[in-house]
Amino acid sequence: MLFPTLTFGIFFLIVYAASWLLRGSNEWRKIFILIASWFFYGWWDPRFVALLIASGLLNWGLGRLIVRFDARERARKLVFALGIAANLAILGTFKYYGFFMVQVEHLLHSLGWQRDLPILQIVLPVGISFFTFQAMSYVIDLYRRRTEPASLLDMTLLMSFFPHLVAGPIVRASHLIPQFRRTPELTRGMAAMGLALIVWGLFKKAVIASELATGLVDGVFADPSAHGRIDLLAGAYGYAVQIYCDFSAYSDMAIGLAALLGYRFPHNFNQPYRAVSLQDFWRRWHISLSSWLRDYLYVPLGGSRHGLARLCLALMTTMLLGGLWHGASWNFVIWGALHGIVLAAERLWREFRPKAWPALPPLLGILITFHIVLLGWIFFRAASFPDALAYLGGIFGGGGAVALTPLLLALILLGMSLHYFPPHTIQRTAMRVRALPALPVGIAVGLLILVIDAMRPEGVAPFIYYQF
Amino acid sequence: MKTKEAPLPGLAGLEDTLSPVDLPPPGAPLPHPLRWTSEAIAAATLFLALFNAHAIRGWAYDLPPGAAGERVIGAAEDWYDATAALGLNRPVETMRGWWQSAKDLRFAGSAVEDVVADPADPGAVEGAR
Repeated sequence: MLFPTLTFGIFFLIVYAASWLLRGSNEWRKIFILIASWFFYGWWDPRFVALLIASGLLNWGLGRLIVRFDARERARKLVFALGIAANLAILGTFKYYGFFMVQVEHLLHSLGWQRDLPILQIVLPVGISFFTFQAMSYVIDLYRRRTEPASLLDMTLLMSFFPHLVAGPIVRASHLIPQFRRTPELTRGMAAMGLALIVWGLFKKAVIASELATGLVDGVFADPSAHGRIDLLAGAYGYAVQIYCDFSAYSDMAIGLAALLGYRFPHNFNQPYRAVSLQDFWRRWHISLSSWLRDYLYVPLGGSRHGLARLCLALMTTMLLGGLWHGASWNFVIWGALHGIVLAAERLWREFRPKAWPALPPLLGILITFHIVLLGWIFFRAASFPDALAYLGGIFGGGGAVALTPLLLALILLGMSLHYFPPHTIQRTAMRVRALPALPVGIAVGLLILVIDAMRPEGVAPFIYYQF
Repeated sequence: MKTKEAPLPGLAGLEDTLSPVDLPPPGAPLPHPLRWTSEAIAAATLFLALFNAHAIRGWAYDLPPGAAGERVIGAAEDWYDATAALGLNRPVETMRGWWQSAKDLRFAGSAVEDVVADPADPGAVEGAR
């Protein structure tokens, strides 16, 4: 069930109406939203609802044990280690088993051992990386005594809550569980922001991202050799815009949907392509993942507390694992390595830049950062490493027939210009909207959705981050 | 071991909020938020049902085959015909025509045929509206 579909629209109207009708009892309201979330998840494959429930039970149980062993440090540590291992085992089985076995097989073949290994084709449950990371943050925060234990209902709802279930934002227990504990209250500001984010997300996904995907990016990346350098360049810029509009649209809609149910999700994007450095980029792109990696990986690996060499190693390790989080592919490893190397280089440059040398002008910093990110996206999007190299080679190759159209170029430019809108434009709009009567607001929302529907291609592609 | 909830923003404004939906409090109270939201959603839904019956009809045809699906298709067809008779489908069809004209524009000397998405590609179109 994809957000920009009528099926989801009907589902959400029912959930919205029923959840507010049940507001007299917060427990029953949460139970209803939990069942609705399982229905939403089961729409893809009902078998994986059991995995979601089992993961919720497991992490709730681990949390109880960590609290029970509060005075016994060794037992606490053991339960914590088992919990992290169990979550990683779930993630590893579904996400990395096939990739790992193929690599082992290649290695054995290269050593002259020609027998085939039993490689199972395991279907990847949608959103497993997101809900597993949420569960891990709960267990880690409990172990660090930074959050309180959640009830079974709150824990399973935290992991299953449908707006963020399949593609984030990664909402931590410390942010959402306290909101679950009381009956949510809706304000007109939240509602206006919710409606604005849903419409804005719908436009970015259904118009910009979908049009660029079907009109340019998918075709160019499927066969780079059939395209000239203009199309390849446009395809790379187009993909940068597509992935931003696609992923940030999901986040916007998730935040908006949760707001209409009375819950506040954290920021996930902040005009990332205006970042002046890669470090700045990671403060603006997929903020919930980058802060997760910082708090639960980079800092425990030593962070900046043990000297420059350890810091660079922590950065590289974090980004390599961040790359692997996206999927079992060497291209994601290369993408992570590129980001890790540049982040480390930036840090070294800040440390050792001669004092007499002027700092990089912000505009130059933005241009350089964006093009490093763009280079990473080519590896991220290409099906394989040779495909990525062929794509890059084609950019420096000959010309050819141009498939880029004026509309696609305009969408690329629009997608880039979004990063230079005044900050908080949507919030300022919502502050005006909340003071208006409901009827004109509803008609305006309907009209905007109608315009978007007239512009979108037939059908709707899944969100890019569904596969992660 | 106290859990710290995300604080609501003060009058200072929109900087440093933990959620994009955190807005500064309004100057004057804005009453009945749930009623306001429900009325806005109902108005938007009704507007779309009237002016975008094409989407409802397309959705009905994507339902799994069966007796219930046939009844929904019949109702969606009747609704489409009723709104079309009033001319309510014209705005979206006109806009769709404009958008198609914009899509058909080409740079001088560009390829005539469109780039076709690879259906085996994860980014390719799969779902239905």
